[in-house]
Amino acid sequence: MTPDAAPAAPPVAAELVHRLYVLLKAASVYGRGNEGYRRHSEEAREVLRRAQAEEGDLRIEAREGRLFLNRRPIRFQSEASAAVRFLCEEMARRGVGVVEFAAGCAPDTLDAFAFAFQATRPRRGEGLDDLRARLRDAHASGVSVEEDVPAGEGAAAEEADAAALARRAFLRALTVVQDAMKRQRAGQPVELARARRAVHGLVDRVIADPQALFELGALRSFDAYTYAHCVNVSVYAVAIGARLGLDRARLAELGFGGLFHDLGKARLPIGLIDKPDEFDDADWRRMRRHPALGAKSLLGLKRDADRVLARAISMAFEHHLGADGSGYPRLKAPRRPDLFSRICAVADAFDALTSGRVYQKTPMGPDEALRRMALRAGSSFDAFLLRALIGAVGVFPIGTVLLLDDGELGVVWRNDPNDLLPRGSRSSPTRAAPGPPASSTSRRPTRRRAGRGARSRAWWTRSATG
Amino acid sequence: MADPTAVKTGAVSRDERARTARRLDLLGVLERAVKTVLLYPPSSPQPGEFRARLHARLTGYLEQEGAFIVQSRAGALVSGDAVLRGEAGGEESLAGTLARDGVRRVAFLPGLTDGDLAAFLEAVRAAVTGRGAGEDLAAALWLAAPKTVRWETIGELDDSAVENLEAGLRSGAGRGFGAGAGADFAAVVRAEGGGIPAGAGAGRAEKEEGGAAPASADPAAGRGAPGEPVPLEAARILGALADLSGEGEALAACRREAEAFDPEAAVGGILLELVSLEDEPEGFAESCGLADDYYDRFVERGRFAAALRLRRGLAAREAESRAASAFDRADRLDEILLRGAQAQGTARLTGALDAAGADLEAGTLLLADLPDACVPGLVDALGRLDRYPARKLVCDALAEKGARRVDDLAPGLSDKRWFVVRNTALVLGRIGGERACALLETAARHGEEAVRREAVTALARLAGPESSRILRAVLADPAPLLRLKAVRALAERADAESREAIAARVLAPAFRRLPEPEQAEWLSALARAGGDAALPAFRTLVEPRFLRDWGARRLLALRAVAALGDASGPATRAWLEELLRGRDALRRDEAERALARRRAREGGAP
Repeated sequence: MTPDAAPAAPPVAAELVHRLYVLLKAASVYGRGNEGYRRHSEEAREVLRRAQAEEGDLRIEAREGRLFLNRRPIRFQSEASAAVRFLCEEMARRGVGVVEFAAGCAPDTLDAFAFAFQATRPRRGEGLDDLRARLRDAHASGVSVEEDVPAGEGAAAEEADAAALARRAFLRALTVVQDAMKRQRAGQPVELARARRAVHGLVDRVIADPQALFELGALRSFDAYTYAHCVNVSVYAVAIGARLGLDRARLAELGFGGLFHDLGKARLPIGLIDKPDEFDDADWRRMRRHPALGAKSLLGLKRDADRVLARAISMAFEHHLGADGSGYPRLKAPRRPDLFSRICAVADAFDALTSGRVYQKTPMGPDEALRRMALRAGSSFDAFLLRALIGAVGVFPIGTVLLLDDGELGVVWRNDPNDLLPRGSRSSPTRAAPGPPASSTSRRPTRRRAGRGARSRAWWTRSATG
Repeated sequence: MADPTAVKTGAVSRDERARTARRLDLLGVLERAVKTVLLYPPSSPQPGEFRARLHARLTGYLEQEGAFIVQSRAGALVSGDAVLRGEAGGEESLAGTLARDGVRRVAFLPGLTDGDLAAFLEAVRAAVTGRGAGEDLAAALWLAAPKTVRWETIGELDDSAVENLEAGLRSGAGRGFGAGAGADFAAVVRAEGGGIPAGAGAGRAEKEEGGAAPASADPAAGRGAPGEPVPLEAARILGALADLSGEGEALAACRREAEAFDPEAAVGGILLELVSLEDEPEGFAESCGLADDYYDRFVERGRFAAALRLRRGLAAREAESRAASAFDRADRLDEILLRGAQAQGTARLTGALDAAGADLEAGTLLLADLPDACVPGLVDALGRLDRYPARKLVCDALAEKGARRVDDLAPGLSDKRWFVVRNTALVLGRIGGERACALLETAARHGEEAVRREAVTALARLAGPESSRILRAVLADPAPLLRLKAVRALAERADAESREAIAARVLAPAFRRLPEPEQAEWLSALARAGGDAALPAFRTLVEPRFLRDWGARRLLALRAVAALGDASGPATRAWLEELLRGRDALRRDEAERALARRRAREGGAP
């Protein structure tokens, strides 16, 4: 079981969906008395009986391309995706959000449903009333259908599957960043409305469960580094903002700024970004232009600089300025950057240090990164905001490998904000993040002498995926 | 069991027809409520009344039928089978807004609160009215966060896209930074399959973050090998530091700082930094272009304080560049500063000043900061301004700047719009000087009385032979009020030419046809202007040689005697005393009163 997701429906749910799919297909081709149809019907009834025995009433719900049984997500093997897509699409076309089979319904209820469903003409998605009428006329009282109510966004969103929602929000933001950078390279304006929606999704997920998004921070590729980095910075920044008690509007500004803080890199030569070798001074000079270039790109958008955009401009320009005014770009009169820029600086540094990137192939362990950042608190980083970051990600952030007191290695997969000493998961050191390991343990790591180079009364950690 | 397929699609039960009718009715109420919100200001009672009506209707529906779902389709507002057409799809309608902003559906849930409904309507209003500023319904709804209203935007990622993206990130099949489409992200997730070799330096990241790597940094620390051991004590310290529960004041300070953000100040500050730090000509040109653009935007939006800050910052940088002999840069910056004072720039500024609720205080400062080159633009703007405060502001600015460029005001006097000429005359009057007087002569001969009046008022304030000359010409103006203004002004000057001009008018036959009060004014003016020198003219009036039209002349003579009360000098007094001894009782009385007035004016002297 994933630690953060809603509990999944039992395996019989996936089987039922598959049988329903086959039965509906058969009903569209065969008549009720056809031998082939009868065989499929028998198999479907059998699965329905088993499912009802386990669950009682069966409420099958389609929402955003996913299926739920009794409000729990149904997990499928990949080959079942055709069945899921078919059911979701056909239900949506008829305006049906929920199909409910009452416990102990008559055996032929399935047949009545299958033929009524197929006979309902999906007229502009308004077939719900038609389907209801057909079921009523067929005396199929054991099955009912309900309208397709939006799952919702924002405060009214249903908490269905935290992990899936987090993944979707993360990837949506990733595509926004990717698209923005592509447009930037092509000299086209960034689509801000789309970006704002993506950020709203991220903020909702960070408020609901930041850990699910932190896990996704480990999803990185060589080529997509910059995109994923931008999303991660956005997530960390919002998490820090949430620790500070900022309201949703301010968190959205933070997230938006985080998403575009490195937009200026899209105006640097790809060869520089992808350069495998060490940077020379000329490379660094060019690279250090990216805050100014990013700010200019955002300033160049043909729209008013409202709070959201102005914050993003400020964050893009100042995110490499130290809390004491050091760093770059070199200002005429060094000054303290804006709060959000300081947050962005902390988030950016943490993600950069812990990431594998084009020009730094060996990232640091998250805990080590925090420790190093702590050494520069007050100068490069705002000490208070660094504390907020630690509070958000934990002293041993997700992905940290711990040596447990029994000599085994554990990967931190989750942090409790109220208990910053983590619960580790027993895992092979080469076991990949993201996602929780197959088995887990809740033992605390204890102080012990261990590991190569370990010092007395110390315990070592390293990153999760080494 | 009956065959369900036997039911015909078109056969709709009475219940369903009733439900559709209810939905249609609700759609109508909803659309009207939205229109009301858009039409009336928030302070008006109408939106609240319509909302209350909508809430009552929706609540009734939701209790019986469950969620009420609304969507936009082909410009119509749709709920189930109910389709509301007509104006529903208009630019500022709910259907139009839903479609434009990609909100696929909105659902009002059972238990709908009035607050949530108000939040929804306010979000629609914000989305429609803030369209130019990039507002959209989805964002506005998200910020409003109603709990009993749900919405769904057009999906950007279906399940397969999510799978592809995730698989791409995990598996690594990308085409390089900046090149890949959504589905073909590269991936070299260090992890599955042994990880990434240790040893590649972490130093570069440190460098990029803007500081030197700390002494204890171990470039080899990372995934390929165990990192530097972290002392437990360090972890404990970090853990303790992360607890912000006792930091109420610091947290509050952060929240205050977050709220205090001023977008225009921030953007303006960054623009000035960009202009300063760019060494490359291309970069500098781009920064200047942005600064120029934002100056215009600030002005257009009435953000005069921000525009002024930017302007002053640019001026300071221009001076620095010139001092450093960076003349190209200085010239470019000067160009921006000058552009704001040219026709388009001043038109933008004055247009914003004329808007309702404009920040006139900041606008005054910005106007004052413009170079004198803005005068022609400001003169041109005089013809476009609707509101008095803006016109006054511009006139004030013209009076101050125009004094140094009087000839730039001349086009205002030849403008076809009389009100432009009038305002220019007003400004010239405030400026004064010989050149202004010369220009005012045109206005004093203008066909529109209001213009002539302004010119005469201006000339009356301006001393000097030039203004007197023009005012003397005004004595023949067809408008009595202007003649009086001119004669009063000339009376104060008391020069011989003015006296003669007034006397000539007074002695002309047409004078006798003027109304009595005007005659009195003229005579008083003549008395004041001429003193003893005007006595011959008065004698002519009082002692007529001809008896024709005797009645009118007698009345005029009495008025003349009365007017001598305003004169000064021994000759006029002596003549008044002589009149006291005359046979005409009426003249005696008038002379008595005139002398009494003179005594009172002269402090009781005999």
